[in-house]
Amino acid sequence: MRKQFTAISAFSTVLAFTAGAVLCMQVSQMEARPGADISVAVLWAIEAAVFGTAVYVWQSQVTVPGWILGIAGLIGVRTALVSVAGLMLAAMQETANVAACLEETSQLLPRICAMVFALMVCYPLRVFLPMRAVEVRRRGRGFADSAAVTSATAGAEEGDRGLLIVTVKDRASAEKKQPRRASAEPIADFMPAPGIEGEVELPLSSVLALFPEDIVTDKALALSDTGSMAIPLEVIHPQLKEAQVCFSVADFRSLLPPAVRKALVQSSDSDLEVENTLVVLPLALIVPQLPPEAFELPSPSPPPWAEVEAGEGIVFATT
Amino acid sequence: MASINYALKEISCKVVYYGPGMCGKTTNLQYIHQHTVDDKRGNMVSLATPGERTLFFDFLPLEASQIHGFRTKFQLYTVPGQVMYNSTRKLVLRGVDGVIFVCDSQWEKMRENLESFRNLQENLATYGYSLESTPYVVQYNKRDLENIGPTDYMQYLINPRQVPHFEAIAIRGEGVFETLNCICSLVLGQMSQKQEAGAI
Repeated sequence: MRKQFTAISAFSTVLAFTAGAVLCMQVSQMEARPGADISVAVLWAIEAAVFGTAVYVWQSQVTVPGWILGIAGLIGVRTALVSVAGLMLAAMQETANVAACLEETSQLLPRICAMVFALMVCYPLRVFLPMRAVEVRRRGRGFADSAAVTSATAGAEEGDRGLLIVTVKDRASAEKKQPRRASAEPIADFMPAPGIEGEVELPLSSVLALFPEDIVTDKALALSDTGSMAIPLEVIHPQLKEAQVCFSVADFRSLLPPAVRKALVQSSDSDLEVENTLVVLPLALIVPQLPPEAFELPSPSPPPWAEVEAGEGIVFATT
Repeated sequence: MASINYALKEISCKVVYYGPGMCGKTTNLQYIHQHTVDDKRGNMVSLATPGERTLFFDFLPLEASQIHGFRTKFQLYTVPGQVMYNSTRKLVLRGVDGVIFVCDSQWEKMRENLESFRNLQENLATYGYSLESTPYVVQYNKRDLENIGPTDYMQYLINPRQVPHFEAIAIRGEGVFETLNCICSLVLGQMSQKQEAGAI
């Protein structure tokens, strides 16, 4: 299931921010002042490294702009925490010297405290980070290796499969064992083929109809009513030989028009299953648009039996 | 494998209709059975479910016209197309002399056609046969339907070697005998070649 920013996430964010500001204020009042000689530049470098690592750990599929956005957001929250702590300190001490209080809360210890709480505050917000497309790995599957056959022949010796009666129970168990998916298994990598140029135009409404329902919003559907999307022929052509053209949802996102892409429910780290769901495009929409050279056959290479002179022209005739 | 009985002056060959489920293999056989003269055909044996799915295989013995003084008999078989009956398909392919690969021309069946064709190659290989040594022709069936793919694309998928291929509407008999005659001619031609080489 998709993990989204819920009311509980919002509550935990607010709670962490409040607790962080209070604790920063308390820590800034400690007498011990370790690390007072550490330069500001070093502190900023450490902070950026910690936040950068955190963003990557949270969302390994994050885009570079998303990664930078994540670091900037964490720094912003950390700064806000020490600022709020400074303001609270000034209010509690009933002093007009707010700058001095802010200076107090920006020392090493309150700053580390603010960093930790900034991570806690931002953790639920990670779902908003933009993700990059996930590459689909090829997983070949032989016809005879399908779940139904595997299930039906389980337990039989190799030489003992001459006559196989598959019961309804076998079929049912095979269906259960086969993982549920919105479409067939991946058959080709998302790799362009050199030398094939052109694009295939597909109606957006037809494409979005194939997407998992939980990522298609009403806004995306409204946008798709009249629009179309172009898919480069070079990424379709390698799959044509497999009689199936399919892309993962993640791959598709990069091909969609920006407005529709933004209107879809955004992905998060926990949505890899949804992002890897394969969307099989109808061949009937694609093949008629392809140029004849896309199906160019090699020069005929008849097998030896095709070169023999046929014994009789007509062996059977209809009555 | 084909057998020649010189004492009885009889040749016997086995032809298998292969293809994905519901592509029209049994329909081909039924049409042949209905449109051949009574004394040249035996009873058609068919074991099918109420949903018209072949459960085991269909069998139709046919006798062709005499060829060079030999009575020529063809045993026509179909295989169950459903994925789960692979063992039966293997069994039926044992001793095959020629294959008619029947494709369903509908768009949504393209993948099944391809998988079935690969399955044919896999199953032939288990007996040490291959499409290099076994005559086969391709039949693109159901050409009367609206949602069908162009034969250019199907050739690209199934028949890049460009062996003889036929468009067919098996339910109306179009292309059925053309396909059968072609494969039988190829089988007999290959047999003749083998006989000359002393292999039979």
